Amino acid sequence: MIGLLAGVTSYIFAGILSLLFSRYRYWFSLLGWLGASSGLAWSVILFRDSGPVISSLGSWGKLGIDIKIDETTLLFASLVVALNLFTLLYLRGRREGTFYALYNFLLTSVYSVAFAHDLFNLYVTIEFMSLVAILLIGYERKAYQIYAGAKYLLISSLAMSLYLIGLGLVYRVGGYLRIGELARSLEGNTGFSLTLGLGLMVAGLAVKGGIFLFSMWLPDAHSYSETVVSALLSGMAIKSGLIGIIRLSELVDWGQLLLVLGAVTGIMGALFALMSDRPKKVLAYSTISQVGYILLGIGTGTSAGILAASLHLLFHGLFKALLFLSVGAAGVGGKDISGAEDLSLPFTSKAGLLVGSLSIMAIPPFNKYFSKALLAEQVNQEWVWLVMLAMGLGTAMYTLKLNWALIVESRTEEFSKNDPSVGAFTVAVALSGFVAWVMLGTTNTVHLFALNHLAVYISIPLVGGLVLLGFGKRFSELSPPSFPFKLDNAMISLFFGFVLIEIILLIV
Amino acid sequence: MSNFAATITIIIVVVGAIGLILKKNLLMKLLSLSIVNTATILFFVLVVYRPGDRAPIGPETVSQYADPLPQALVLTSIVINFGVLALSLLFTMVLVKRYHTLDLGKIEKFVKEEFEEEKS
Repeated sequence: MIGLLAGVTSYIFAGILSLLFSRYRYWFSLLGWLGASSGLAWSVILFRDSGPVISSLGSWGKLGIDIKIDETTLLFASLVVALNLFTLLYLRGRREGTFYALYNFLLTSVYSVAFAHDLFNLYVTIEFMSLVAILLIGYERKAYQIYAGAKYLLISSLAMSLYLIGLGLVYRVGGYLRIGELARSLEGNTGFSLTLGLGLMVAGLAVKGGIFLFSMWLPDAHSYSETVVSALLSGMAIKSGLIGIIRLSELVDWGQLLLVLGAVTGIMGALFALMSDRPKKVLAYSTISQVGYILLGIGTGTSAGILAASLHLLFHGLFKALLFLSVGAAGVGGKDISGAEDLSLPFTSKAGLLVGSLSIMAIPPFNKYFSKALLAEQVNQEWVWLVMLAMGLGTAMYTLKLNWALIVESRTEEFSKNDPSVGAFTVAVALSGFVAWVMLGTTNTVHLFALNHLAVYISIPLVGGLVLLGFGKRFSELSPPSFPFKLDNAMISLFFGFVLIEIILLIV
Repeated sequence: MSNFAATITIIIVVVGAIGLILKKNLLMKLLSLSIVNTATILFFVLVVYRPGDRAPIGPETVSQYADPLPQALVLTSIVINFGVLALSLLFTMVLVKRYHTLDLGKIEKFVKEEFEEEKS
């Protein structure tokens, strides 16, 4: 517990110090990383001895604030620490002190979401996260960035008001804000005001978490902002909403709700990614699509399913940040890939794109294979299987399309343009699957390497490639519709999604 | 009491949401947003109100005291709403300085044009 709190403290101090003494901003940020990573290492060692811990800050009984340390916490905290290291290496002292301050505050807020186990604490940390994220989106003060930030701000503030109303309803029924005690006092309660409250809370978190129908601000915000910010937003900021949903799933059995939301999110995200033709847009839609897997994992309701979802949360953060950094380091993020012959990428960016794409397609030794295979084991409904297959196919198609343009068709830049930090990140992501396999325990996961498993996971990208060869021209003529992502329509779809949640919760 | 609270809150939230969605003017949108935010605060106040409650400070002999948790909660959310409003006004200011209009439809059109221009 103290290890994780030390991480939060060191991030806050790194932020304040890099604002005050902006000459040493880079070194203060590195010190912040050092504090957080050593605190996390200590917590991991303690966790291996004692298992999950729930402890209360302050001795006020009912008023105390709970924090919880379990697998989800530690996986998410290690994601934050890893992304911190590699984005910091990528920045290499560029940008001024204000940027580093905001950067460290974003890390603070996201890091403290990891162990929040209290409804109101979740609200405060997530709202803190989005305020800092919005400042970072509009950091370069370009008009389209400001517009994307304003859109995020309005939708997320509306969503958090809904969350607060839901919180009030749940508090009136349950009498606690601490999730552990609340779960006990809500047991067996299925009143209407509880259902309404939980639906409102999920709708609020879904807006932060990148779920289709709710997070229509996401594609603009993630593709208009600059490289490091995109990587951090897609990699970890949206995950804080999903952590909130994981915590809420302790309170109530969601039944089919999260499975339906996950299926819609996964398929629509992949479809839009396939249609768009700018690398950053493709990656932003792909984030929506990958959130679908995480929701399916939480929706299975088993603890192994939630572990698979948390693993996916970590792996998605790693490979998505790598893809954003490789595209951004080459400066091709906003370019049209239909004219890829004129683009040129350095070798490290191409390697990063390749490793990130192999990961996102869940090719066996790479990291996403483990989370996806563990998730597939937990799924026991046939339609979810089919949805996962369709999502895998869509993922393979848009990834292959992006790779064909940016790795094969484009030219290779001269050697001096190579970015060592992207190279280091590539190696780390390539090895992360192996590390996770060792951490999971090699003996009880050896069945993941059974021949039929491997055949399925390798054949999905092959089929995707064949479909792309046949219909590739058709897809490149399409472009994703822009009307669902306008501010007004995004808000309408938020209310529509909320009604959908309530219908599913009440009827199914 | 709490049914009354819920009804009032729903009415105000719906009014705010209609303003948020239908008004094209950015400032009107911000006003509607702060109506929604205020509705949540009103909701908390009405839900925990019981006649005859005393303040939860002072001698411990007071038997019936108000629940302190929602008060802490409402205070925090007022501060956060203030931050959100300030930030959104700042963003609106930047957009108005750039495009000299508050109309969201026009701003969306300009933004799209400018983005395409810069990236092509």
